Amino acid sequence: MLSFLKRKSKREELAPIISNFLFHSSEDPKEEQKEYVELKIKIREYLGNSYFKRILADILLDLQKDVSGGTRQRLYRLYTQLGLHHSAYQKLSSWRWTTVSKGILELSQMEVVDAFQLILKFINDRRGVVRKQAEIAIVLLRHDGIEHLLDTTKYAISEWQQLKLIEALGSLKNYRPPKFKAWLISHNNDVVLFALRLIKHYNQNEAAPSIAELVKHKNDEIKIAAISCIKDFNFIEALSLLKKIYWNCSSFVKIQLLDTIGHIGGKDNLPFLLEVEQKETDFPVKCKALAAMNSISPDTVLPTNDIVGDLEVFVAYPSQTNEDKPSEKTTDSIDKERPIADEKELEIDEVEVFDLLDTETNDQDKVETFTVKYDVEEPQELDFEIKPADDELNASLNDSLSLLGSDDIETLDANEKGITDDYGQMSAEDKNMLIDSLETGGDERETKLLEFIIEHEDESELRFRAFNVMKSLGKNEDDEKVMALETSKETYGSALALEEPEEIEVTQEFNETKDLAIKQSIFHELYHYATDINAKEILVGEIIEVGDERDIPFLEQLLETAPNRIKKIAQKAIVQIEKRRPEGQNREEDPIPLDTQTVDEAVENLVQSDHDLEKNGELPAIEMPIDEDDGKIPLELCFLYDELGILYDQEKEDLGLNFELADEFFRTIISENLNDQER
Amino acid sequence: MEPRKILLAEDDEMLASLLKYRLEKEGYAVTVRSDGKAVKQDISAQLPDAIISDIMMPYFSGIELVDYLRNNLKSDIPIILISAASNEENVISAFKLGANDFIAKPVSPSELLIRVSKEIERFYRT
Repeated sequence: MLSFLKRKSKREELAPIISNFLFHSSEDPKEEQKEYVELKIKIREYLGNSYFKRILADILLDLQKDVSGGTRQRLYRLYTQLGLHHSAYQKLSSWRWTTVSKGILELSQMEVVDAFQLILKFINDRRGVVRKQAEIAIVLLRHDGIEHLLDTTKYAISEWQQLKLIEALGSLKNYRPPKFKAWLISHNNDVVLFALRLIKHYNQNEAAPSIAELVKHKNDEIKIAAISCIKDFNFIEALSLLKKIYWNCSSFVKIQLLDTIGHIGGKDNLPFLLEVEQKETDFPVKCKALAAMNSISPDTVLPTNDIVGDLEVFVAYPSQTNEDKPSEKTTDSIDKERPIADEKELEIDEVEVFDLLDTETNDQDKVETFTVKYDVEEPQELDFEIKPADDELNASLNDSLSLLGSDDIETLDANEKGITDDYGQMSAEDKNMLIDSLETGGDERETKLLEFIIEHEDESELRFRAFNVMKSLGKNEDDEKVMALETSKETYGSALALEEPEEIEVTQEFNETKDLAIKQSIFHELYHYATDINAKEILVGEIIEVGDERDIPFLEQLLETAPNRIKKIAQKAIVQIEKRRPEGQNREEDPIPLDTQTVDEAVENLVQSDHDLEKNGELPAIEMPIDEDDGKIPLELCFLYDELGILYDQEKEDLGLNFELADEFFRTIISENLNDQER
Repeated sequence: MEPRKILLAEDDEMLASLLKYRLEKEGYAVTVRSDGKAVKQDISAQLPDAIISDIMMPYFSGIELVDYLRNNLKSDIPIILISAASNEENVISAFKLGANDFIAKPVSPSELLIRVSKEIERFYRT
């Protein structure tokens, strides 16, 4: 404490003396000149005291930090004039590294240039702190200090030290840096690295050949620094070399290389980048290759991951007309390929072309080339979704576009065949996806494919889904007629005229009614929302307990379409519901026909009875036509039946008449009855 | 003619001494204060002709001093700020609050003299 106070008072005493020395001028008044001389004598007496010298040196060191300009230069001069630098020299010969370091720092801060050679010896000192202090001092003391440092240093130069040295160089006034490419041939790798950094810092782009050679260096750090220089200086000539060395580099260097190619490369580098993306197994490197592609040519690679409603094009190539193109370029292969921007445009064009064709050849109903697929399901694997452009795929898509441009019917027939062939080769998952897409975005152009699925698919669920899709497509009238005719043919036999529209309407109405009946069940929707077969099983099991007659159509549908396990439960549910029905109520009383069999029987009975009557030559017991409004027989019909001798159906006698009789008629009837009774 | 009174607020004694010597040599009457509290007391008692203040001082910063001078004392006397932390934020806030000038450390005493004389001349001429 005492020492501190003593030191403080000494500093306060010395401060005005130093100020006087610093701001003294020969032009000052005589009094001040006199004062200056007195102070000079006084201070020379003190300089014999090392303690005083140390305090004086400390004051000057403190002050040099706070002042600038001419005052600082005067302060440096004062420091040497007072001989304080000799004390700093002595520190350099100390065995303590802290003292040596302080000596070097003091000499460099007070800009004692004469100390340069003394400090240079410490460049290769084994003590790190001394060495680093010496490096900075060398750089600060003389403008050529950095050259001496790079020439003589044998030790590593840390990145932090490199930054400090660059900062020291930046503080030098009127500094003209040397050509740092001279040190690219150094045997000290850190010197090479530092030289590369300095080349970059001072934009010395004339070192291109040397820098290009360094990308072949064994050391990855040097490689990366050289690549960084190539990128910064836009050395396009070095690109071929970069591509050449690429496959022998580590992943980290590869990323830097790709980044550089992406920055300075042109479109001629895209095939190389594509090759990298395809051959590389390292994920970050693949990503960098794709990023580089987009950097060279923006939007070459587009994102596909988690893209909802991604438009995919199902292309069926007929093998006959597309022999040179691989037929695997179907939905499956497109899914696997990453879409590129050009392909996206092509997809849209193709759909439009298809529409045109469809319009033109609608009557022929033969175009079955594209199926637009909206993939709404998320991919199960979260792979990186961006992939590069595939020229082959591009070419095949282009070919397919031109193929569709022709209206060659043979081609179209071949396309149909191609669709069915492709469907046959699909995996179960792909088939499911295809049906999903048809359910979501299908239209009548998929009719042929759907028919093919309905006819040839082994999986009953897929068949049923295809059938539903076909129904929901809203097919054209002709298709409906054909289907209705086929249905009626199967149902009613040849006795019914196949092409009578009334019959078709009856069948249509029946189908609609059946659908309505199925949808009456509250379990219908729930069943379709169920995620797996177990859930469906449990759901159908619940019908056994809580179901009623409205669920029977749905259960009957399950008997036709559901897997066997569910079928059994559905059968059981029907039995239970039948048991629960009140006595006297049977299936025929259901407000809505339950199945096709019931109607079939009714129609057959009707047809059979007509045939029987014709055979016997008997008049049928005609059921009295009843006025729909009041359920009574019209007057005219009563007279007609009387004239023809047709008997009323006894069961219908109580229906009454829909006309009014005059009071006179009733009076006549009553009087006649009374007369009869009297008789 | 009475010398212009300058209040120098600087906590670094050596620098304060050096600047004081230089300013006095130039004919100013300089009072040195090493903390913000003392400066506040001084200016509350009597306003100098100009103030040179370091921004980073104990108790009361140079920025607060400008604020106090301009908003509490409603004084327009020239005030020049000095700081080693010559970041943009410091400079902008100093000028916003009404500082006349800003000098970054290390300070050139010659430059400071010119700026001080310029501010004083401008203030007292108007």
